[in-house]
Amino acid sequence: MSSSYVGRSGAVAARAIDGQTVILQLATSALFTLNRVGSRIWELADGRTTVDQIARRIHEEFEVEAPVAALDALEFVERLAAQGVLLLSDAPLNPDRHSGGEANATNPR
Amino acid sequence: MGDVVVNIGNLALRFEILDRAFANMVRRRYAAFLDAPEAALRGTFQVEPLPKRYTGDATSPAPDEELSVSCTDGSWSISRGDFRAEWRPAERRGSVRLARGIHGFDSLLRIVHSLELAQEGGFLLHSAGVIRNGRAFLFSGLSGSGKTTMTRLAPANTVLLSDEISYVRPAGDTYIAWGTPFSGELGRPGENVQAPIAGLYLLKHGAANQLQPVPSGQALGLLLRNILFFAQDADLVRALFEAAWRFISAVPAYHLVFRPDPSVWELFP
Repeated sequence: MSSSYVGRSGAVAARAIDGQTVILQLATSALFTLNRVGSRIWELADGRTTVDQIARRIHEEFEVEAPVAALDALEFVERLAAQGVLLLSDAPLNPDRHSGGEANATNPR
Repeated sequence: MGDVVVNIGNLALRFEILDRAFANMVRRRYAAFLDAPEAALRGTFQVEPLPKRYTGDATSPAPDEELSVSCTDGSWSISRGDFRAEWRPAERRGSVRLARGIHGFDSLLRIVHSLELAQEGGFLLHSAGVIRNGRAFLFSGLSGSGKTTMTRLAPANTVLLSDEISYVRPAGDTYIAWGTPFSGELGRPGENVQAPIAGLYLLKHGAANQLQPVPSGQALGLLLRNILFFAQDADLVRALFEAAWRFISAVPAYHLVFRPDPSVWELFP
């Protein structure tokens, strides 16, 4: 799972504001508010970056120990993927296809 | 037959009502919100009040039907137990069959206004609104949070916009609140006036009166919970999300912890 590519679902609306990111799932109107670290993971989830690579960036940018960053990043990504907010895939995700990307995504659970 | 133009927030709809008594009821209900300049007219609805609550044919509302709002090829279908409507914005035409009584008509107005407002970055908000010294203050929260209480406690030099639903429209870099005829427990409509919005105040009961700034991310989430969403249409939901984000970027938001007595208004000079 740590080698999976992470992308943002196109079925949400999201805005960064004052260091947080607020995400609204369009189909359910469910709201997600991400803190600074979560917001950074959201930014990095461009469909071409893996969970491992994201964890390394979190380790470097937030001075979190590498094993902790790896565990936290994986848990965070899996949780949002289970909600359909992030997408996980064995192959890079085409940014233009994120809205219909479920066909390419693997469910982490 | 009677024509009635209902103008809320400078967005007017003409209703061609196939029943004189129903038309008179609408005129009485929206007495402070009748007529409009031609430029404000957004469209025309043909209104057919039904002789009974349910007539049994396919185009009549079914009594137990829950609200459904959907869009197909730019045409909105809106139905509930007491009305069934269509709204075609591109043609500026709509039609509704509804049970007698103002409740269904009132709901239809809210829904059509929310659909139209979303196209221009505005929205209807569960909030009481009051103008004081030329500025509008919006007090938002769910039922029981104190919206009506804030309006009841308001001093004499305030003007009521609504104790239930505020009408929010962008105007350049700022936002304007308009009065609405939609009332809650107070049971009286707002005045048909407008003012720039000074702030959004998210209500909390407490022992002492206090204003606490709300971080923007949290404010956006709280605002979204109080915007009237009638449709699960993805484009509409996205438009409302963007509207809420722009609003929070332009208007300060606070938690208003308040004791339910007139002293709370000292925070709003």
